Amino acid sequence: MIGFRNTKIIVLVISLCLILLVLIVLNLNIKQPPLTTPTPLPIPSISKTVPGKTTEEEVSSIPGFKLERSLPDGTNQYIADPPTGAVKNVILVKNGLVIFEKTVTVTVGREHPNVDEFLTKYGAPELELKGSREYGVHETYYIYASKGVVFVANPFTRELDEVQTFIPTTTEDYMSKIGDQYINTASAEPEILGP
Amino acid sequence: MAAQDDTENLQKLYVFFRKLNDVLARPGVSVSEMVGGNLVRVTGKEAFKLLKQNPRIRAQLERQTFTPGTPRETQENQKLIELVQAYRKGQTNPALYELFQASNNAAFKTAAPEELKKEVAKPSTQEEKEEQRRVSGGAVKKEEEKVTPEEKKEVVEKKTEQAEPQEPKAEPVPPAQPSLSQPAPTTTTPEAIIQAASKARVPGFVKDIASKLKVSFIKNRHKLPIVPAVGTILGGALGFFGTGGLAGGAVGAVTGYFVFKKAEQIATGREEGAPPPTSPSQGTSSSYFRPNFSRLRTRMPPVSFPGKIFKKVWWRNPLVLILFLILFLFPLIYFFGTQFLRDAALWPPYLTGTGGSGNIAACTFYRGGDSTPGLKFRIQEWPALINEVASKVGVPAPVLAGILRVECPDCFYTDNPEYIKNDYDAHGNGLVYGVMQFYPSTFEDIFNKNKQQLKDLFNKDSVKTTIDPQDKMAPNNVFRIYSIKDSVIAAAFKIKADAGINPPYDREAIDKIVKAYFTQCEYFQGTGIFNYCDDLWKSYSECRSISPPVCTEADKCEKPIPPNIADSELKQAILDQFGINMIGFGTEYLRYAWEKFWDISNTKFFQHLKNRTRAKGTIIDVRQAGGSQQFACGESETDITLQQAGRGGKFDKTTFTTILLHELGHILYWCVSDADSYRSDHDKLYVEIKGMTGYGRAVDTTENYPEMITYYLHPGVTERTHGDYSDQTNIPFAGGKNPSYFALVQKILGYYPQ
Repeated sequence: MIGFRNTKIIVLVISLCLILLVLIVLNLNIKQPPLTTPTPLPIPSISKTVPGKTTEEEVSSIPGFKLERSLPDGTNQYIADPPTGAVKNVILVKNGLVIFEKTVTVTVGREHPNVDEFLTKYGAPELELKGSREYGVHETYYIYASKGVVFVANPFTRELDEVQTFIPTTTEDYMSKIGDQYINTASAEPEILGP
Repeated sequence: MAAQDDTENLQKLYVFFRKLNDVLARPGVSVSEMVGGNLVRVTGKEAFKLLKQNPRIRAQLERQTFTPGTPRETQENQKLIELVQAYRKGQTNPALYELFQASNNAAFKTAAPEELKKEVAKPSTQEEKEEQRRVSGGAVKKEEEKVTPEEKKEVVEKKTEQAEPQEPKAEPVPPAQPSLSQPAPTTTTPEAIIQAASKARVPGFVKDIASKLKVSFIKNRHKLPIVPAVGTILGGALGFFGTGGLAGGAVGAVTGYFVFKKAEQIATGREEGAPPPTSPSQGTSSSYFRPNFSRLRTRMPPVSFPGKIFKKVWWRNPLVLILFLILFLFPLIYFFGTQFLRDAALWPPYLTGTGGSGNIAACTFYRGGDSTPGLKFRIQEWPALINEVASKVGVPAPVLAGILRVECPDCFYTDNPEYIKNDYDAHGNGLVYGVMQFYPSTFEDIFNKNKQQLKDLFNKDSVKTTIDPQDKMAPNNVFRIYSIKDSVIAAAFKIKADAGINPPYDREAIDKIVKAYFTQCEYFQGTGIFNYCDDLWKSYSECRSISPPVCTEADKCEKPIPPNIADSELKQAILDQFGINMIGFGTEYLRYAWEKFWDISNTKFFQHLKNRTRAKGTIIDVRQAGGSQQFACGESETDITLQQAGRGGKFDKTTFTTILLHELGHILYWCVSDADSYRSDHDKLYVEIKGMTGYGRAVDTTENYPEMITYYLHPGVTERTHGDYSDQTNIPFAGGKNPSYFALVQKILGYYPQ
């Protein structure tokens, strides 16, 4: 029995060594294969609601959110100020249910999650667009319309600035209903500087 | 009944393996040794998987028939004959004969050559008969007694299953030969074989037989068995990734092969010269073979392959344990442990120095990208040697030291002054040698191309590219590949030749030097792929700068005064000092930049630029028309395009440096982390109080931010960034205007006198 237990321990140690070695070789950067199923991944924990499930009553109880306005189509827009930055958190509610949420990720200490953590989890984006009406010319939108998620990030520092969640749809539908309000793909003209 | 079942099972297994071997030999999967080796578990498991999952292979198996007469058949049959003969002469144990008997199945009988049949058909000796009876009868009987009623029931059930109608492809069953007491099998279709084999826990069972018999039916050693192959691959991978070299990989592969092979031999008792097992646990020679397969297949716990090996190896062979530690743990310690071990208190402290002084004794040098902390020399002798060589040859000492850091990591851990004094380091991987890792041919080539200078500067008049023992080194007038100093000299001459005549030592030149030295930028290290060019650039660019300390308001610092630099050296000086490569600019603009950069050098401005997430230096290309723009953060060839003149003609110094700082302000906004750039705080401010300049107000927050930076560093200057939007009468921070932005920018850049 002792011998068998020793064997198990040794096998365990060897296995751990091998795993460590694999991790080293991959430089601790194991890439997940792209997801092929359209099954929505869990909504990022950054978001406060689940589009299609969270009710307006629940939204109104989220600290900081207040009803900003009601649109002609019956959509109610709730907004809240993030700790810093220019962009506000937004929740859209229609027919009593959340249909869209836009959450700014920055903390009081101006820290951001790394967008690559999310891109690794979600796989290759269905659409990637550069240029934001809110964040500026280089800001990049990583769009997973069929999963109901969009990540908005600084492509240079890889800082995630914002997460959008909505009821899964097509990229075209996302762009026409939501994306066009925020994304500005018009390439920036060079600054004509100097007097 | 049990003995008969066992024999049938064994026969089926043998047929199965023979067929399987024929089939799997084609795609390169060797199961040849499965009967005689300890590889059965691994290989057999894979084989079952293949058979179950791959209809093509299964179909092949079903179609497969014996084809006697092939070299392998002949070899195998010859082996069988030898075994029978050996048994008859009393040269081997009875279990060997048991195996032969078991293998003498219907298919074999059909296919076996006449000479083998004759050999088998010879009457047995009395001893043989007794032995046969004792082994196959007595031992089995004992085992049978141990079988529980449930097991017996299971055996009966299995036998019933096997006796069910078979496919028409069943092999012909010839009549039993007189000398063989066991009846011929009745179910030999591939399905039945597979079924029987898969139910019989083939690996453990055959492994037991094989390990006790210490025989291999087919010695096709040209096919690497699985176990040493695994060792070869693991060792090779470790060696290759560990050392970053082919030679390391080869050494690792060879080591891995022998370690695993040795372990395999020990574990299976096939170690050369090993005595037959005699311990009670292994039984006596007469009880080696207990062919109660129903028991084996129902009761024998599966013993994993490595467990089996190490269970037997662990205590008996410390050598194997040591080799294992070397093979697996040494690389781990090497790559992870060095970070901790070498920085621990047991090691001598680093040389003291303020860093960034341009003195390589105080500079930090890098290897392995951001995964490895930079290192400083531990002994003064190293920088002294490098400085001497660099100044004589005419190359930047930090470049030479940066190459040494990559080529000879251990050199930066050396704390023994005698090491330099002894002037001997012949380490290499069989291809390249010395601290700078030269091929002998390259070393000789450098000598031949620089003979005169080597004679004049270093008194070298001949070359030696073979390794001498340390106590028999060639004299100093010989340019020796194993001499520390000569290796550094050779590197200096190579750098000089590869960089070109009077080059600016910019990023491009550094890349060129590395590619000429190493053929490429990328290299392997244990933790991944790294970039030699990045390493050297970081080492060099950090070492050459002479930044004054950041000033605070309380310090009441005086403005730094730029050193006098000749026009021809301005571009290189800006690159060296501030990490900004201004390409294509006229001398007067380079001087404007040089002076302004010095003027703001005691703020945090350049500190932020150097701390950029993807620091690769900032490249600014001149642009004749079309405006100025920031494009990237080091990913592309150009980060910024900048005009020297606008619609109103050539820019004056103030206008040029205003626009220059504005574009660099974009780098701060986009390329530096929010924590350092405060861009979120700025954006919030922008929403609350709008922009602080005409241009900032007209566009967006991303243009206001660089405006804030620019005019903080240009106090008293009127807006002039954009001809269409700037209020050219407004001085943004004059008279306490824009206090919120002023407070913010002071947080970002530190104190700058207004």
